[in-house]
Amino acid sequence: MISIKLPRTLRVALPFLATLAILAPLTWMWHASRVPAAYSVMDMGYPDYGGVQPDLSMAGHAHHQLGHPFVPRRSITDLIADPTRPADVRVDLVARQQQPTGGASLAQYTLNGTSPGPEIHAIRGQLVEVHLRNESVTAGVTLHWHGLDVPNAMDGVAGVTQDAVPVGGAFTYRFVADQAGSFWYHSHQVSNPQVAGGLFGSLVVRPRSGVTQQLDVSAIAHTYAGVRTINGKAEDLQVPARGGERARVRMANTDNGPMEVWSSGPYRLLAIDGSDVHRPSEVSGRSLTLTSGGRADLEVTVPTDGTAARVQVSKAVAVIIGPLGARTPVPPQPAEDLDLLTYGSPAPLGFDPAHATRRFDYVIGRRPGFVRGRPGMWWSINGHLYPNVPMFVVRGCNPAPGRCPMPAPATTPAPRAMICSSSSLSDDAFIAASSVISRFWYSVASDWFIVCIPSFSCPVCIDE
Amino acid sequence: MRTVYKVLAYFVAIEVAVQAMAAVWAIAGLGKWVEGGGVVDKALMESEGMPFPEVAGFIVHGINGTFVIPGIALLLLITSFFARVRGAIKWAVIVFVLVVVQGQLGFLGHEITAVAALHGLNALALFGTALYAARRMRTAAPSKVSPPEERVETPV
Repeated sequence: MISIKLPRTLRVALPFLATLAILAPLTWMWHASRVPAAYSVMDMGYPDYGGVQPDLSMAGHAHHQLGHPFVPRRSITDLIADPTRPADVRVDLVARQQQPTGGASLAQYTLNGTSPGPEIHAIRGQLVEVHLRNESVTAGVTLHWHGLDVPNAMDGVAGVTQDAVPVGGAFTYRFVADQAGSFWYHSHQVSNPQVAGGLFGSLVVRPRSGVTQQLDVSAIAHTYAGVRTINGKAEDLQVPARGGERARVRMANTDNGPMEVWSSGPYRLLAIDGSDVHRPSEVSGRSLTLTSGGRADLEVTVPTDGTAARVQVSKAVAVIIGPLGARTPVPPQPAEDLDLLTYGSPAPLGFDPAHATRRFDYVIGRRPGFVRGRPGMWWSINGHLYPNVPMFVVRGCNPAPGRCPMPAPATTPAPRAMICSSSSLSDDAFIAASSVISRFWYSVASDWFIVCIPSFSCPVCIDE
Repeated sequence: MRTVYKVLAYFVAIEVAVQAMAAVWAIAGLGKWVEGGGVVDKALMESEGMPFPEVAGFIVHGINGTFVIPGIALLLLITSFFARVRGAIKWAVIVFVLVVVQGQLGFLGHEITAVAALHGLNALALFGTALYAARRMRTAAPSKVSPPEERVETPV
């Protein structure tokens, strides 16, 4: 063995230098990953203009904040529904941190004493007013109208569009329900435990003409502390019906992961995530992947042979529609999924994806590193960890009438997304992408629309 | 420092054994739960709750593998700089590299299941290496503490 004779001082110093060489980068990475206890999402991450040079003259004063050339020209709190219009639908909700009374439910939170909270019904075009009062949720609470386009100040994203409502506080949400479909509402403050623990409910907006089916059934599938439920009960949902009747089953998945839904007989997928499917055909032998936070309106027909129609939600629970006492065994789970990109017939989009003016990459990955001072294998966006995530920036519409296909910014709709192609995505990546897309939120604070994705870097979180 | 080195290396070996036990315990619990009619899908896996008690095994495996074992291996590596025993650094580096490889195989194994089999195999390599690194401290010669001309070469 060759031994190199080192000066004594170096021999003594070498172990310390080697230790420093290991610990210094780790300490620096740990230190750099910490975030202050309070910070503004406006200062977070880096702006991504989608390949377009930013027109800074549009950003109010030439003032730059931490690399973000956005200066609010108007406050989010001004983006509200017509304050003079009386409400058509009024709902009072009281949030409590407690287990529901008189039930074996495993919920940790309730709205008006139950979980899920009361179902909110509206007819398209009605103005909905929900008065939320926080009686005992110590971490504060908000309500977010998942999938529904509402004025920005009413979107219920704590820390972005409003402050969380503290214990003893209240907030009134007002919005016009301008889309007919199946939606849900949930707290958007400390969402992971609050939604998993029960702060959510169903929101159904029916068209003015009503629905054509004889039965209209809402079914929220939720897992409380490992227990599968439908509408809060750990048992099948029984819906009495006569043979030949058609039912619209509004399935909602309020869990953090996707679940499979299939039926004992043929079904039609009338709507997905609050949007109607154009000319939905009859489906047999295919199961539907209901993504996290997703909704699917299925039409099933009760058989005339005395059995029931059974809509299976994973193999755990089911919606059973038919004569009382009618039995239908658990249908075998189809091996193949319904492909939503080819289902139905094409309908006009209202825009041409081939002529997009800005293009953004959103690459979900995982890499080791520190997030908020904690080491781990974290989700990354475009290779970056939280909070260094891209803030997608697009120009707002000109509010002048007739120049914009969308309403003026005061009622700017949430950027819903359309998946144009998924050929290069695996099933898992597709599911991840579709749930991420549904989680974009936005804040309008000038003529710029800012689509921000503030906290995707936790391994498991429901952040819509 | 030699004692610290030895103890840390033994800890790595013990932790690998704990990992194996936790994983098999959890899988057995999962099997038993499914036998009893339980249904597992992504929605359940992402839920907050513990549908069966052996879920704790998955949690222990995850925390140990992501934080605890890499932490011990890093401490072992740092300790090796001060141990002044020939080969101490080399074996600490090997243990550390095997730990890093083990973590990557573990994460990748969720996508490519054949890699998960290598995760099992590499665990044995890590266990053996960590055990060897600890045991050789009993007999290993000190390095460069005395002037080279006085040193006695010990065959390893």
